[in-house]
This record gives sequence, structure tokens and C-alpha cells, in this order.
Amino acid sequence: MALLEVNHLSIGYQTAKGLLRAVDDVSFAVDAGQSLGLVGESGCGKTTIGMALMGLLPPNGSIVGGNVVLDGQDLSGLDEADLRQRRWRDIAMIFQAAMNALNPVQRVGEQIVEAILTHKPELEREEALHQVEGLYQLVGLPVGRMHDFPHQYSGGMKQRAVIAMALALNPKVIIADEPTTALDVIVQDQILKETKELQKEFNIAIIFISHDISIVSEVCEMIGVMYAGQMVERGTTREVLGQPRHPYTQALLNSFPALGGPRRPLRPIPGEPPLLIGRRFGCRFCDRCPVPASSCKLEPPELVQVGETHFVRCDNV
Amino acid sequence: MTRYVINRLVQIVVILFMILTILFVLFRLAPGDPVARMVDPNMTPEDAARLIAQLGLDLPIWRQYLTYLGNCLTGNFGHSFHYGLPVLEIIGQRLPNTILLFSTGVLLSAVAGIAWGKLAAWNKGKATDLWLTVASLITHTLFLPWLALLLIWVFGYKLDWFPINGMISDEVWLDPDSGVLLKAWDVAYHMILPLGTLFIMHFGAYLLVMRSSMLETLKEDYIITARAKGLTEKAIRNHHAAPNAWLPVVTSVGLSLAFSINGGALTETVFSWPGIGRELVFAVSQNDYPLAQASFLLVASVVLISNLVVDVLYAYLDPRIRY
Amino acid sequence: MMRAPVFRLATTLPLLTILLVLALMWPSAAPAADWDRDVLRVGVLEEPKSLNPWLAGDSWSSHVQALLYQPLYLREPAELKPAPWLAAEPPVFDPQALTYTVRLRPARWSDGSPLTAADVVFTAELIQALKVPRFASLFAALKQVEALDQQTVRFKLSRPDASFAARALGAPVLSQAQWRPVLEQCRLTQRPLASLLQYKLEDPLSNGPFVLAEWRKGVYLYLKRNPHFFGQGLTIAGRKLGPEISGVVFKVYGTSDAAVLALRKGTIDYYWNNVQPGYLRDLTRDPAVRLVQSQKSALYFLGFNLRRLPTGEAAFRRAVALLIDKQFVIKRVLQGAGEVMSSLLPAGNRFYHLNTVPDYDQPLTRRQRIDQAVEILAGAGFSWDQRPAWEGDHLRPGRGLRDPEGNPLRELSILTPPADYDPQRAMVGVMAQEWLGQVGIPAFARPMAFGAMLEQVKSRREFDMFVLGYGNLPLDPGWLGAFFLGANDRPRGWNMSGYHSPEFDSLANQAGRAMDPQERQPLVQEMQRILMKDTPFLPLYNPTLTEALREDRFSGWVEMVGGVGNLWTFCELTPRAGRARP
Repeated sequence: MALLEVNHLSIGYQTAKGLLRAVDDVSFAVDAGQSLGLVGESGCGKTTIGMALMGLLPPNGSIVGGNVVLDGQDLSGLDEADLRQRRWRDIAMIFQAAMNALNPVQRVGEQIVEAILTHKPELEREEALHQVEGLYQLVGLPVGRMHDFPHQYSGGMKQRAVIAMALALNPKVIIADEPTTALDVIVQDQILKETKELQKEFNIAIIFISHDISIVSEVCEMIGVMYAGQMVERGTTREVLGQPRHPYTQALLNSFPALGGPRRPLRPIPGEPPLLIGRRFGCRFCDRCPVPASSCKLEPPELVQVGETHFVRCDNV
Repeated sequence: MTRYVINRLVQIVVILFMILTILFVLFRLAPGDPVARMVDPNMTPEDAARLIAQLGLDLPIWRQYLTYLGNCLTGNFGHSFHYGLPVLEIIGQRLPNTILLFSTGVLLSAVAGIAWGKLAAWNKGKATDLWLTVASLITHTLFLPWLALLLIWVFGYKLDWFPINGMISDEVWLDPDSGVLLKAWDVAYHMILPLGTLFIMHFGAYLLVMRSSMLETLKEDYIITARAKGLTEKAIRNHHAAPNAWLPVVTSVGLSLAFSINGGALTETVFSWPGIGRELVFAVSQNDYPLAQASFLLVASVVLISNLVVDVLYAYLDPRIRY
Repeated sequence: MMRAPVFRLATTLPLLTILLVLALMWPSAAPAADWDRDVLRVGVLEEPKSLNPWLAGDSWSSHVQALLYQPLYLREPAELKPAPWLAAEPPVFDPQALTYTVRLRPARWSDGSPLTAADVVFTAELIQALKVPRFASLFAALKQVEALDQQTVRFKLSRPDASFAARALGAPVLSQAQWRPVLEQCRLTQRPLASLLQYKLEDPLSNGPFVLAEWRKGVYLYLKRNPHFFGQGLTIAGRKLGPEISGVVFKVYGTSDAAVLALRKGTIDYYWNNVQPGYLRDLTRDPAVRLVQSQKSALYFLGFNLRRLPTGEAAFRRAVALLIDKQFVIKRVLQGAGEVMSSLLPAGNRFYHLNTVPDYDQPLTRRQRIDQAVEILAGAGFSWDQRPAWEGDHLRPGRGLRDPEGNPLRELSILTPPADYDPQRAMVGVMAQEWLGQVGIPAFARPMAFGAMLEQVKSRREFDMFVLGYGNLPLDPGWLGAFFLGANDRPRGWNMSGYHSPEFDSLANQAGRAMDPQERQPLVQEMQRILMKDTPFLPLYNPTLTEALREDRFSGWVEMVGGVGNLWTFCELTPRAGRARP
């Protein structure tokens, strides 16, 4: 049994126009020390999955099907208090630091201390501070900057601080949501490398959420491609990148430059993802698909196994 | 920072000088002369003229202005025409009373308004929010004298829980056996109804500002961070949302505090509170130039200075701001 | 987390404070010691401006000053005749030498030092030396004042002055010991009078029944019984004097609402102000409260500007007089609390008042009033584009009124104080506007700030009509002459109408010199008759003073013209046996 298992997870948002199925029948599993990348356009449901794993869906969102099992325990069965206890301790999150992930009026170190003391109320404050010092050293931040405010940090420092915060309670799983998006390429590269090292060192499972398939491919052993709430292709990085089977994955690969890969023209994907409200028939990618078949519009495609760990949701494979 | 404060102080002095001049001109332009008011049938035109001359009002206006300016610079704001006392002494008697009542009122309503605004935003759309918001809107639009009289009638007269008005009761203060503590209690006791009125009138404004500011803050990412960290709702609300949300409220409270020094003439009148607000109205209506000018000048300087204080405080509360 | 408790405190702080204060309220409600058993509590609407007698003449200051600074003669309540007060007997007048000789009672200042003729002399000399505006005109005829001995003063006049005895000898006597050094000091300054008026009087020496004990500015003023009061135990004008009460606390109330509630609650025993009709219904039902109605020495009138037309035209003024229905004003505006004034001298001044009712004050119907006014205007040469006419009971108002020269009348102003200062006078202005409008007189009520209005009337003298009043006129009729003497028609002068009548001037001057009241009486009455005919002022009403007091703690309130708030009341009021503070 894997450390984290997501089984047929469906998530809906109650909206004025009706139920919006942001995530539909998504399954995957991650083991300790492993990393899975969730890739897709914005609005494809990848962040919703991250939030659902944290138990942080907004008030109008809820899990409408499937479950999340961490370490053999079904998280969807827990009440709010238990869930709160497990947050950060079991599953932590690395936010995109360019946004206001850090409270602007609180000292950075303090924000990490707070996380520690919330879950370990028995600790002395001094001790927690000492731990934060260790974390700072770990992520390569000068300890002297602990008592600065977020606005005094550079983008990269903020990102490191956020990582330090995520590591504070030694979690089993870390969800990294667009962790390096706003950073310049050199810093981005550095941080990704360091993250990988830390992952190895602490044997953490990482779910890496990004719209950038090339970054994900650098960091993750496994990739899940999301489209319109569904996971259209899943497999090891080698499988998905080497033999992309879903037309969307192929299109996605063409729309990004590959790091270190051969030069090729970038092709944007025409069209827009469909609205996810109301009943839908057939394949969701159908309207944008370069190779649609007539049957695509009628029946929703099933997940088909095409390799050892390689699955595709397309009838045309 | 020091440089900034010094610059601002210089600005304030310049503005005050301008206000001084405008006040002088305004009051001289206003109809009515301070002696016409004394309709004592005993007084002959010669008596009136002598009085005017003695008060220095017969001099050409530019000489009056120069005298006035010179006196202001030396801290001499003259004598009230009607009280015959130095203006500063009158202000000194009344101002502390006003500050006591209105600052307490502002602070109480701000603290409650902020606390309840937090609560309302946190429970947005629920019954708590609805009640608080509706209550704020209603109480904020009440007519102050009406509310005050209602409270006085119900609690001061019918139920007889509180004194009808005033700041102290002579029964306690004149009693040779009353100790300091009893006297202080007496003041607090007298403050309840006026404070209640101010509170009811003003908490709504702070509540609404805090609520909307809080709602804005709750959309921020660091709130999600806090939640992800597993903090309790209360810790998130009080420790992460509120400190960011009350930044705009600080300005509002700071300025209310500043303006509270001119008191509410209405509140002071209805509650017979011996404050500066009533004196100000009196001075203006009776053409008591020295008293009116000095009172307005005082109000202006306090407003200007507290503006500065609010700005500095803002920098302290929000580490992103530096001057 | 670390700061959480602080926030919890902040949330509950307001509640906590209120609870705390609530919990603390009971000690002040606990029965206090007996120190205030015999202390009278009086509610006033404004704080006395100053106890400096040279400065403050406002009624609130006068209320308090009257209990401290005593005159030689004081009007007694029954006949309103001057009774010897600090003086031992009526003044002795020598018509040849034009001197008044006054002998003093043995009296002391509140510090125990004797009050002597030197104090009386000093007071008069100070007033004359600095020409203190409040008193200077009273002493204008005084040539010389001297102390014949410790107890006797002689005033020598430069000319006969009928008002001198009543006014100058009714002025307060002040302490030489207290004021002589002040006067010396003031004389050294650039503006001696201003310095005197601005002198800060810390501890006023009193020769009255009470002495200042504590003044908490804006809140209360506490007077204690003066142990050295000369009248203690004496019987003057048939009245036995105390004071029997141990002190008086004046409490300042911001509004009448609060003062009336305080009275009903028993916080005060007497509200020293006129009670507006709106409160009367509740107060009459309250068994603890007694309402006392008194006459006032007051005059409310419509004044005309005789310096310009058409108000300068006597016929026009008579037409206006006819159009204004005073009965209606009293019924509707004063809600019955007042009497019609026909003569300018209030009826309460029984000795000098002329009891004649002019034709325009006869009970007339609206129709009669309008018809007669139209007739008078037409007779004086006024004409209309459309003359007012009756169509059955309905009046077709006149339009396009033209003066005798045939020019259309310009808009006429009726200046009144604003409604928040005096709703009644403002209302009268509006009513007059309507009544005059019915016959086509284009008059418009213009309420304006009181000070501005006085400036307009007295200094600039730009107005057509104005509504003004005196709430507390001296009983001596000297002011009547002053108000209409031709010589007083000047900026800031008393003659606001610009009235000029040689006949009146000569009568007024004669009356002003008539040292014998019996000789003066017909003159003053004749003056009133002339004014009734010429109507430079149209007297409107004399409001009845309604005061509210409680009798559960004190008895012996003395009613007189001007209300129960008089010196006699304070000297005679007796605590009731077995009373308790409610």
C-alpha cells in the first residue's frame, strides 16, 4: 500500500449556476520519497486536488466521490478537529511565494514558530526558535534574517522560507503548488535542486503542482496530466514524456520549451477548456482535439492502461 | 523617519499660521459685534464704545491682526469677552472633560466595533453577520439627541439607575467625607449614559469598516497558509486576519480621536457635560473672538498632529511602510 | 497563539468596562452624610459667566451675584417698593442741595470685617472713575459722594435724576478692601477698564446671605450660608429673614428636558427658568412638583424703523397694529401663557403703568381688522392694483400696494431672532408676515442670529420692522424715556426706532427730573399715551413666567414679579421637619 492514495476522487463546487465538478474521478498514489507532478492549464483542477488533500476546500466545495487515504487512514472520514491536527504535521504545503503566502505584518521566523507551536504546544518558545534556526540553515537562509518581515526578503528568500516552513514539522507529504513560478530561472533551478535533495534526505512524498510540464519533468518521477477536472494521462515521467499518448499531453509538450531538449517550434493549444457545470457527454478534450473521432462526442472515454504504470483516458490509443 | 516627522511638523506650523489668519478674518467678517450682544438697557452708546475700545476692537483691523499674531506667538490668546478669564484657562478647564468622555467613547466603540466587525466578517452571510450589520446601520443613523434623551428618560428617570446628566454629583463631591475613590466612581457613574450613547452611535462605523477590511483580508493567501498550518480558526482570525484588517481602521480611529477634542456640542449639551464643544458653540454664537479663535486653533492643531501620529503609527503597524 | 489572550481581552473589554462601572455604581447611590440636609438645589440652564460684578450682566450670573452683593435698597415683594436693605431707613432727600443721605445698618463682610460708609463711597467712585459700563449710566447724575461718618453716606447730584434713588441706590455695594488694590493695579495698565473686567476674582467677599464655597466650572456652584449676613434674624418689610437653609447649590443643566426631569426626580428643588408649555402637562400631574406663575417685568414688541418709509408713516404703523391680533398670538404662540400688552410699560409696574386699551387692541374680528386697516391705508393715500376684497367669507388678498406717491412698495423686512434662540419671536415674525400679506403689504420675516440682528438694528439701522424683547426690565420707568428720546437716536443708541417727538422729549425730560414719584407718575403715563398713539414700538405681549419647584424639602417660597427666584425666597426658605431626600 502506498503512503498516499487518492481513489476516484471527485470534487464539486456549489455555484449559482449549479454544481461545478472541478475534479472528476481522479486516482493516483504516491510513496514515501516519491514525487508526483500534477500538470495542466489553470482551472484544470490540480490546485483543487491540492486543497482537498489539505482539507482546505472553500466552504462551497466538497468531496462528492472517492476518498483520500494517508498511511492507511481515510482522511475524508475525519472531523475538522482531527483534520486540523494532521495538517502540516502529516501534509504540509509549499505555496507560491510571490503571492502573499507570508503574512506581511508578522516576522518570518515567527510564522514558522507559530506552525511548530500549534502542533507541539508542549515546546518552549525558545526551543521552537532554535528549531527554526535549524530550518533556516537547512534551506540556506541566513539565520540573522529570522526576525525580518517578509517584504524585506527577496523572492528566492521568501520561497526558501516557505520551504522551511513546510519542513518544520517533518511531514510525510508536501504539496508544492507552483512553488517557483514567479522566480527567475536561476533561482528556480537552485531551489528545485535543493528541494529534491531535502526530499531525499527526509524521505518525503511530494505532490508537485505546476502548469509547466518541463519543470515537473525535472523534479518528478511520476506525472499526472490534468484536463478539465480529469486526469487524462498518468505514468512515470519517462512514460509520459517519452510516449505521450493523450493528444492533450502531446499538445502540452509542444507548447513548452523543454529544458535542455532540442529546439523546436512552440505550438499553443487552440480553443478553451469546457465549462464544467451540468452533465457532459463524451470526451472533454474533444472540441480542441486535433484527431477527434466521431465516437468521442458520445461516450466518455475510460482510463486505459497502455504501459506498466501508464494510463490514458482516450479511446483512440 | 525623524526627517520625515520634522518635515511634517514644519508643514503643520505653516498650516496653523494660515488657519490662524483665516480664523481671524472669518470672525471679523461674521455679522454681529461682541458688545451689541449686551443689550443691557443701562448701557449708553458711549459705554458701548468705551467697552469696544477697551477690548481693542476699535483699532484698524490690520493692527488688531498684528497684535493677535504677536500674542499668539507668545502663547497669549487673550481673555474671553464674556468670562473675563484667560482663554487658555477656560480651555484648560473644559478640555480634559471632553477628552475624558469622547476618547473613552471612541476607544470603547472602536474596540467593540473592531471586535464585532471581525466576528461579522468571519461569519459572513450567517445570522451573526446579519444582526451585527443591520444593528450597525440602524444605530449609526440614529439622531443623537433623540437617542440621548431616550436613554436619559428610560435609565435616568424611569428606572433611576443613572444620574440624568452632568459629570459629577455635588452630593458626592461636596461631601467632606468623600474619598478620591468615591469621587472617581462618581465620575464613572455619570459617564455611563453619555458613553452608552456615544457607543451606540459610533460602534457601527468601526464595525462596518472592520468588517469590509476583514473580508478583503480573508481573501489573501496568507490566510490559506495559516489554515494549512493547522491553526485554529480563532488564531487565524485574531492573529493573521485582524492585524492586517485593522490597518485602515487605525486611520479612522485616530482621526475620530482627534476630532473628539472638539467634542460633540450636542452630546455635551444633552448630557450637560462641561466640555469644550459647548464653549465653542457659545463662543461663536456670542462673537467671543478670543475664545472662539483659540478653540478652533486648538482643534486644528490636534487634528493635524494626530494625522501625523496616525501616519507614524501606521508605519509601526505595517512594516511595509517606511518614510 | 502567544498573543491570543490579549485579543480575547480586547473583545470583551467594552463589556467588561460596562460591567465594572455598573458594579461600582452603588457606592455613590449610598446615602451620603448629613452635610447637605439643609442645602437647596437649584437647576440653571447656563453657568454663571463670572462672579466679577463689574463684568457679567447675564441673567445666570445675576442670579448668583444677587445672593452675594447687596444693594442699599431692595424691592419688597408685595408692593415692589424699595425697602431699606443695607440701608437702615429710606434715603433722606434734600431738594435744594440735591443730596440723598443714606444711613447704613450695622453690617459685615463675609470675612467678618465691618461694612462701612467707605465701602459705599468706594463703589460709587470706582464706577465713576472707570465708567464701568454696567453701572455708569446709573450714576451719571452723581456729582460727589462722601462718607459723613462710619454709617452715613451722602450722594450729591449734579442734576435732578428721578431714577437715581431707584437705580443707583439699588446697585450692589462692593468691598473696598477687596477692590481698592485691584483698582490701583488696573489703573497702572494700558486699559484699566478691560483689566478690571478681566480681573480674576478668586474669593469674592460677600455682604449677602450666602458666600461662595466651591465653584466647579461647568458643573455646579456651591454657596454656603454667610455667618456674617447682616439680615440674619432681622425683620425687613415685615418679613423675617434667615437664611434658614445652610447653602445653595446651583447645578448646570444643558437642556430644559434634563432640568425638568431632575426636578421631578428630586435632584433639584427648583428650576430657575421659565418652564416651556410643552412640559406643563406632565408637571401638573406630578404631585411632588408645584408650578408657580408670576408676572414678569418684560416687554416683547414689534419695532418700526421711523427713519424710512412706509414704516415712518404713522398711519402705516397703525394699520400694522390693527392687523396684528395679539390675542391670537398669545393663544397660539404662547399657548395662553401671557398677557396682551397695550402700553410699553409692563402692567406689573402698577404704579406707573397706563391702563388704557387702544382701539387696535379691542377685540375685533379678522374681518374688522382687515377692513379698518385697509381704510386707514387708503385714507393715508396708499393704493392697490387690486384692493383686498371679501367674496363672502373669503378674502381676496390685496395686491400691488403703492405708497401715496404711487410707487409700488418694496419688500419690507421683519427681523426676528432665529427659532432656536426664541421660537416664539420667530413665530410672531412669520405670523406678522402672513397678516400683512393679506392686505398686500410685502413684508417678509427674516430670522437671523441674535447678535447679527442687534447689529442690524442698533448699529447699521437697516431694517423695516423687528421683533425683540426685554425679559427683565427695571421697575423704574427711566428706560421708557431713554428708549424714545430724540437725542438717543444714534448708532448703538437706545432709540432704535429713530422716534422724534418734541412733545415726548419734553415730557420725558420733565419726568426724568421729577424727584417726587407722585409728580412723575402722570408724566410717565402721558408718555405711554403718546407712544400708544405714535406706535414706534407696537407692544405685543408680556409672557407669564411659569416656574416649577418642589415643596417636599423646603417651604416659604416668595412669589413676586419676576418669579420665585428672588433674594427674599433665599432668605426665608425653611427646611421642612422630617423631610428626606427622595
